[in-house]
Amino acid sequence: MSSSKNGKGSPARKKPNTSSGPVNQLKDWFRTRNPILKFLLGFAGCMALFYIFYYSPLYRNYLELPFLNFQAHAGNFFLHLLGYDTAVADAAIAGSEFTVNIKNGCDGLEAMAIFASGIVIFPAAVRYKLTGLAWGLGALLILNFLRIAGLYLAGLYFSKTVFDILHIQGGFILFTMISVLLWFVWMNWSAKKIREAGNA
Amino acid sequence: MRSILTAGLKYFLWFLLLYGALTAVSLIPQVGAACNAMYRQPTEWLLKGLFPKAYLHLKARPGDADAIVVEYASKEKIAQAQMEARTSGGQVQIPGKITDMKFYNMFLSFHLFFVALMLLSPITWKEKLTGIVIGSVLFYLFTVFRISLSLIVLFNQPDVAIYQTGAFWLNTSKSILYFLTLGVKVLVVLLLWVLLAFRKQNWKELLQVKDKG
Repeated sequence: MSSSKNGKGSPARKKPNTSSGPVNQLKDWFRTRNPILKFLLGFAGCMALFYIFYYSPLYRNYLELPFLNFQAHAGNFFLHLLGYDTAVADAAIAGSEFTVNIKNGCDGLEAMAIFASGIVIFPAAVRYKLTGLAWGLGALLILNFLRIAGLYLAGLYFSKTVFDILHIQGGFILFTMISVLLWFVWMNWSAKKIREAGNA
Repeated sequence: MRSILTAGLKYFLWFLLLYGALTAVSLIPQVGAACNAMYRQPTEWLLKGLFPKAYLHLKARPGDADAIVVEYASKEKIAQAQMEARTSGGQVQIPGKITDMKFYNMFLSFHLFFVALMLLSPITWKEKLTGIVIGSVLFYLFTVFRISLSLIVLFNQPDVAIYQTGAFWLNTSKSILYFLTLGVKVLVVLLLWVLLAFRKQNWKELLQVKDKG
């Protein structure tokens, strides 16, 4: 990540063999990406499992509303800390002038699943994975509470256009990016721990 | 640990800056309208090929770069209306309808996300540009696929009835469409990014693992 500024690759990177025709080029492509393709398959598999659960009647009928209600209460707690007189009804935070309704997709679960899937398939000891999951998911959950409170404030003080931009661009994409960032931080941390254990 | 966090935060700040700048530029009405037009033209051509029984026209709404207005009608009904007009000597009444799509949520916001990720990746400029071109085409086709599914469902509605797709394929289309949420779009972008920007070597560099050959 730190070498992203200059855009130059590592001097140690092997150049793909481009002189032996398309078959060898394809082989080179697979050789340089083999672990990445394996990772992608594992990651996609984990996300598929998540979506099977996320769209299952079990989650939709029994878990979704309590979870959204819990998030609404948490967002409401932060708004109360800031001095706003808001109340929770089901999955909505309502004030006298504006109401934000937390729906499926605003719950942060997809971003959390991306983070968790990345950790689950990364080759590290279970204790490192559990540590990462606990810290990362905890951090993402709290950030999502703040995001919900922030969206209420955006809706209260700015136009619908600004709210929509913050909701999709600001909320959805940046929140996912934070989960990816946390995942990279965890991978670096666990790789360092593995190296240290190997050197000891 | 602190150095990793610093590097991560630095990367995130660069991402915020770049993605924020790209989004701000895309919100300039002229830029948004140009992107909208660039998206509409090939999409209309592809959709016309996919739905030969339908008259389809993708239009912009003046002053709203976010809107794509889809005008549609049954070619069969248009032919009937033309025939009736010819026999009666009256004017042609085309029984057309419109539906709206949100261009930014459909494509542009997520495409800019992908472009920002690629530009910040630790690969050469040639690889970045190649990756952006390939990824953009793939993501574009993904969005056209999604639009096609929504049109299949729309064209099968009783009041539209341009197509009569079998129950199995119609239900399959509805199910896939149900899954293709904004979250899945973000996921597709991430998968394209990993596929196009990561190699065995830069993966190891990222994790600071020494290559043993």
